[in-house]
Amino acid sequence: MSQPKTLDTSPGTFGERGISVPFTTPMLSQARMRPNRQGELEFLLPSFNGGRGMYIMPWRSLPAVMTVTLHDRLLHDALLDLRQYSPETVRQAVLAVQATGVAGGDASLAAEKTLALDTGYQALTQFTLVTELLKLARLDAGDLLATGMTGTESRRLMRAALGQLAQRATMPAEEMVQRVETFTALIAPVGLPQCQQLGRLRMAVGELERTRASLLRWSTTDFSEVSQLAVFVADTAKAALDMSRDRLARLDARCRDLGAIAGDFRALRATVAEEVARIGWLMDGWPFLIRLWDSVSDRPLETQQSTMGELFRLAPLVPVGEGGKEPSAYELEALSKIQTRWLRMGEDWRTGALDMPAVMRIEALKATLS
Amino acid sequence: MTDAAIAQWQTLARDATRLSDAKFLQIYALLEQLGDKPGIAGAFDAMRPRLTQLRPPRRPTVSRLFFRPAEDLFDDPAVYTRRLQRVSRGTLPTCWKLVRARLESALVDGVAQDILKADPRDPRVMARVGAPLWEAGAQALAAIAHEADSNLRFMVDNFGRDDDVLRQIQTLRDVLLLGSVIEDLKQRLPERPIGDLAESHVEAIKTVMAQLGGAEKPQASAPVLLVLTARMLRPGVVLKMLTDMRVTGNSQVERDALTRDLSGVVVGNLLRQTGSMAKAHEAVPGSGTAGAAATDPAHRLGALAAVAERLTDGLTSVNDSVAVLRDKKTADRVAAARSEIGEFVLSTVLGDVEKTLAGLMYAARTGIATPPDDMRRAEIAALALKRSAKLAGPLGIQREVAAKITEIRREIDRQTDRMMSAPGARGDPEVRRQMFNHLRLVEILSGSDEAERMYRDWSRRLG
Repeated sequence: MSQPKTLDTSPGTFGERGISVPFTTPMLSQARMRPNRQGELEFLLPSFNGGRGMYIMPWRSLPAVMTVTLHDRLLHDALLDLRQYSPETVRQAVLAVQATGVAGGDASLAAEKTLALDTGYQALTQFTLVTELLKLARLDAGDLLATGMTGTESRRLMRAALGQLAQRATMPAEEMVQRVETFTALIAPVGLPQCQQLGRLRMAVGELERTRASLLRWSTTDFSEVSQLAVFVADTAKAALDMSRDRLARLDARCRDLGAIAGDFRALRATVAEEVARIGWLMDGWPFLIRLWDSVSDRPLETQQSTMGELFRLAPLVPVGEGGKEPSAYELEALSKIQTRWLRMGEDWRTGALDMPAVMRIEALKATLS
Repeated sequence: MTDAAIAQWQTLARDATRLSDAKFLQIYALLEQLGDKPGIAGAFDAMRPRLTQLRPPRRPTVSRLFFRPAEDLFDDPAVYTRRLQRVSRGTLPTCWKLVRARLESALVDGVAQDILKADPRDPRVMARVGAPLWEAGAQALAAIAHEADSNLRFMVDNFGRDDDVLRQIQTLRDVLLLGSVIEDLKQRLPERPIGDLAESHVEAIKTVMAQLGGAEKPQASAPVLLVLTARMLRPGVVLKMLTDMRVTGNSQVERDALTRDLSGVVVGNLLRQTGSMAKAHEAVPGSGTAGAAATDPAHRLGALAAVAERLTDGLTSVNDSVAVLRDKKTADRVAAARSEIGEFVLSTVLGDVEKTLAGLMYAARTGIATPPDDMRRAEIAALALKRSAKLAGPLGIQREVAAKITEIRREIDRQTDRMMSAPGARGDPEVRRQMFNHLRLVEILSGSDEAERMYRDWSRRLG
């Protein structure tokens, strides 16, 4: 077995930080994954005994330390099949595995629902995009807006409208269709500013803002040292929020002029892809923490305090190279000591045995994530 | 209220337990509005097992707040056992009536007003509101005990001729004297039943022990430790903390005496609970009730396994303390209790799990895959068996539990084989879904390695 390495310093880039993976093995929960130089996947595991240190392990080393759930084994297989690693591609793999039912019926239903919502939102984004393009070209979108159409009919009308747009832009209709589909796929995780429904990442930003406010409120009512952890987590969230909002503003400004789809599409595509990907990285890991905090909103203070320790352990710092603060800006050592003092060590932490009720609690949280 | 009226209330409450959750809670809410009356208290006794499951929000009252620091020590009259420093709920109404009469009306009215203004979900505020009540109430209890001790008429009129009531009042008084300390500590510790303690929790307990008398006067912490052991899943942990406490001179004798007393109480309580397991079996959600979760056999198995686990964990945690007692009789009783729990697991969990699982997983239905609700129940039943497997070693029932798991595994294999051999199984999403349902059970019962092996094997068959 290769020796696990420990990482105490903050990573320089999002790539170094890795992508959070919603594993169901308690010790692996929210571990971060990244390909190493040899192309092998390695996992950054939050410290087992508290604090913000990390263990870096290849998958093959894990069985020596813990029992890994079947869900996580299948998810690892699915991750190996990915050609590209980003929060978005990992999310797709996660949902596909979850939908099989290997993490339980509720998580499966939630994944199926999320996948269906994604498909629906993609269609809505494309529809919004086409109607905006028609408006720009001063063409009538009336037919498209008619109600009671079948999917096939709607797609036919959409293609016809894109044909008209292509004619105006003097480009082949297929090229226009291709550009619209590509742009839709790129922007859908965030959503167009013109769309009445918010995209997933835009909603995540709103939810994180709500959670940050809740954490700050909580920090003023908890009189123990744990309140310092809440302030740290809220600060970490603020950094991600500030940068996400900047990115969203830039993206929205870019999307106000959709004429570029018929013009310099390459530049538009590159900008949008970059902005959406960055927002994806900035929000990566937060949805789970938001649900975790929500899940204890009605619980006694002590439960909230111990959950705060978890949030501190898992809170994703924005890497220095991506505009985040230097780790020395935080009192990490002192905060880690507080967290360790409030950590309850379950049996699975000591023995590596699988605690099925704990696994099921994580599965229940997965079922609330979308 | 006449005896006949009290009996009627109790009958009504018993009848209410057969109603649906919603109706039952409606009746509970109506009874709550009637306030603290002797007949009503009896009705609540009849409703309590179901209330424990449903946990409706309770209307805060002055009397409830008064007893709050000691609530972990309360037992229903039917299971109350003497000399274990417990308090029968049957004693409480009279006790409150006598305390109330001795408290200044201004104090009681003030607390009642504060309760109305406070958020009952905030224990810190409730502790602040209750502090003067506990202090004055403890003095009142001391006066009541003194009067009962010296005035036979008073004793008989209020408590009958049973001296044990005086011991209960003494326990209540000791706990209420430290009411604020106890409530403050409860907030710093995990929810009951307390499992694992963090360093901060251990520190909080030690700080309280030090503040109350520390090395010089360990006995002063006794009421706090009594409540704490009642809240712990493994009360032996607290006894160990006491044994490890550094003491000097004569206080070592005091500390050892306290450890012995507490150990006796803790072990006695565990034995009492083991003895009343059959009753717990009856009181487990469902028996004679009509609530949805209450009548569900899977939830029932889960609850039974939890009872067995709690008692086994508790007994294991007090091993050292039993050794300290050097009492062969107690050691024998602990050993007997273990085998009693073993018998209990064999006759309840192991007796029903196979049938329950079969009913949920393989009942005739239109689709192939088990519906999500049934699957959830099947997982609860399988977890109950898995919990029993964890206890099998200490209870000496490894062979029986292993045999039961093997039997169930065989049935899963048989059913999967049958399903996959049917025409059209390949490519049928229902078959695939049921395969994952079976894998969930295999993972719970036999572990993730075995589940992965079965997954590879079954996936190959499905192509």
